[in-house]
Amino acid sequence: MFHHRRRQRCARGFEANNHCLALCQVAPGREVKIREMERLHPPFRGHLQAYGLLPGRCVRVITQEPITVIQVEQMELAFEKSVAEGILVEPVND
Amino acid sequence: MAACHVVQQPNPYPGGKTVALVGNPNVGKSVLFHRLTGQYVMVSNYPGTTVEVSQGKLRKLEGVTLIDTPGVIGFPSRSEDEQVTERVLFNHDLRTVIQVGDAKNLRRTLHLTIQLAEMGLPLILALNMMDEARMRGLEIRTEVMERVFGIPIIQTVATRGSGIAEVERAIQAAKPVKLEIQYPAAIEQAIQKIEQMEFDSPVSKRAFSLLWFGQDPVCQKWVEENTPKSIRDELIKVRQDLIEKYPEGVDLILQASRENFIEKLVHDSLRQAKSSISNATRLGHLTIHPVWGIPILLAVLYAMYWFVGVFGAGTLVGLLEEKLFGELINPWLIALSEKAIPWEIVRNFLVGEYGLWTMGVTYALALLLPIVLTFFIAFGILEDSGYLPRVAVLSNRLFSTIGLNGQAVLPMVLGLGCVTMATMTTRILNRPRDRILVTLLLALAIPCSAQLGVVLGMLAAISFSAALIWVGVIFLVLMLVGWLASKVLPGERTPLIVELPPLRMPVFTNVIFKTLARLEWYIKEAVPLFLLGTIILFVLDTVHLLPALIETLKPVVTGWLGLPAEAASALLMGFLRRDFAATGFFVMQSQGHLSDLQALVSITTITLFIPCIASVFMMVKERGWKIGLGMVAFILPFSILVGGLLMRLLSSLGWGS
Ligand SMILES: Nc1nc2c(ncn2[C@@H]2O[C@H](COP(=O)(O)OP(=O)(O)OP(=O)(O)O)[C@@H](O)[C@H]2O)c(=O)[nH]1
Ligand SMILES: [Mg+2]
Repeated sequence: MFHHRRRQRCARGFEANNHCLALCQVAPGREVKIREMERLHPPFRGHLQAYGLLPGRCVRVITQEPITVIQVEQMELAFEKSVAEGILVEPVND
Repeated sequence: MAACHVVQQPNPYPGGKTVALVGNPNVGKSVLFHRLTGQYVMVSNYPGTTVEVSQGKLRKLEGVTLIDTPGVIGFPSRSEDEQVTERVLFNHDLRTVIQVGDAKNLRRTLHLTIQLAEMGLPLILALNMMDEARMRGLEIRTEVMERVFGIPIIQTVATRGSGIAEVERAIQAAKPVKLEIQYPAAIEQAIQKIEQMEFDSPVSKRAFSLLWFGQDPVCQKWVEENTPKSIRDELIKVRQDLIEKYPEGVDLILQASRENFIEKLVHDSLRQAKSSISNATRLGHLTIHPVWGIPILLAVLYAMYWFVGVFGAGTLVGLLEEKLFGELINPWLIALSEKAIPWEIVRNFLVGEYGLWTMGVTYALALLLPIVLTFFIAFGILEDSGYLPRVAVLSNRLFSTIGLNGQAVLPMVLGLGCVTMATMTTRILNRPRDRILVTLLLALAIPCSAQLGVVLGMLAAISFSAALIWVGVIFLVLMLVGWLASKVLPGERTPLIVELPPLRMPVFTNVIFKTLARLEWYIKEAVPLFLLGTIILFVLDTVHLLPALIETLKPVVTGWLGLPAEAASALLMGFLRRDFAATGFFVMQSQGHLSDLQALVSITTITLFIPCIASVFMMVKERGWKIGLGMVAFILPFSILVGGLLMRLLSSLGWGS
């Protein structure tokens, strides 16, 4: 329970904590590393993972409007904000 | 740590008669199928082109059949088209499986390679789209991967035919592999338990167990149908224990082990040199831009309208119908038959008002052929460009109001080509609820190519406001019925998750092949129905039943819809194909038998009518007879209802008078 709440706070207050944010909060053009996807509804998580969106992967955000589009390897994947909210990422320094 | 070992075994089916092409969606399986068999199957630049298997004979291997399958994102399968592919792997004694992979997405390709190798199938990997991988500065070395998997890996560019000969050689030499990745101990133990059970698994027991843990639907069904209850209960128990141990999902654990394994491989095999963003990529981003996306969409729609509605339905039809058929061929044939055929009834049968030639063939060839031809060309270009999945992104918000997501746009847009085919494409939708909803909307409100062209032609002859009213009514009906149906059908809306393929320059020969394939289908399927319809009308007319029928339908046709009583015969043909009915109205309009209001009401009604007999069969096949016939029972009266209401509304507003 505690675990769950902590995670949610992490997703919202990303400015306070620069090590962990939700994918929907990442600015276009930035590259991030997937940290965890456990908050996602399992079928959606399974769907995204089949595309290779797995913890540890680096992805680049292409746009957030009208929906989130990211680049995984050389593939562009589009999904709604509600899905992007459930994916926690950390910035990649380069 | 992921470790593995590879065991090569003799091929259990060296004389096997089938080879299957399997791979992620939109990686070029169907192009390769064409190269290997010489037989054309639909190729387009979006995931979900192939939704049913096709078979053909391998050119280089006597007596061996090649199967093209729908793309799979990965197992466990999620959508119906993926299940089609999985059943091929389950039910065929495959001599070889050719995995087709996208070289520029190596990790994604290898995830599937692992799953296929675990199945113990004789496997080869065609790393396709090498041209695009090189363009993006990727350099791939296959030796390490070949050794680790124990399979031949061939770099190909299917569209240019490079690497095909190597694939053909490898097919003959392929041996089954048995790749074993190490999963966490609890999973390995569960696999062992299943391996000790006594039943004949359709793929290796190891792969079977992994599918079973992931609650794969095809695996589930196989177990229900092929194992005794004792085994089934044991299987369920093993899985239940695992699920309790990994509440976050067994699949997550499996994927993580595979990812770990792949990461090392890719590290050894892939070099990324420079990476610059190409113009196609930039344009791709622009097409889904919140501001620029809409004008681009409107420009694309306008270009389509111009090419099909103005050029096809206007210029080409004018040339063919009025000039070639109306002034040359038909008068000549009528004159000829008057001389050569002494019996009036035969003359009428051939060249009379409901004559096989003067109505059936003229409608099919002079009116509809140029329309569908231009439509198929424009549509083929659009499909191959990769623009369609981007429309899914743009239209997502709209579809969310009717409880769907943008993914539904693909079958709907394909429906503009042919509703029957599009009904089959609903397989790409993940959930039954979405499939039912889209099937209904397709049958109700999406006009198919032939009809659309006729409608555009008729609208162009009335006024722009008529076009707006028609679009508005169809759109409102779509939204209203969709909204109501989504309230009635149980289940929640699922969010959009869609892959956007790169924008590509359409391949000229592919557009031509595709257009020809569709034309062939049109001539085989539509033309016989046109002739049949004409014969029915002729017989009804000759035995003097037609006037009686027209009289019977008068309350509906004239009373409710406000059309001339003769419109009934056109409407009757709508039961065979609604474009046939539309063509009937088109002719009535051009002969001055329909006022603007009547023309508009007639085309609105017929747009909402059931598409055609073939589509009804397809609905029944895909959705079951209850739902299929239920939809027909709803659509028929509903279309008439809307037509009559529109007539009353417009005439009370004084429109068109
Ligand atoms: N640049 C390039 N494009 C290719 C190559 N092979 C296929 N294509 C293109 O990729 C797109 C998809 O090809 P298909 O053969 O329809 O792919 P598929 O794997 O059958 O797709 P689904 O049936 O949807 O799973 C088409 O636009 C092809 O022209 C290749 O080697 N290089
Ligand atoms: Mg295909």
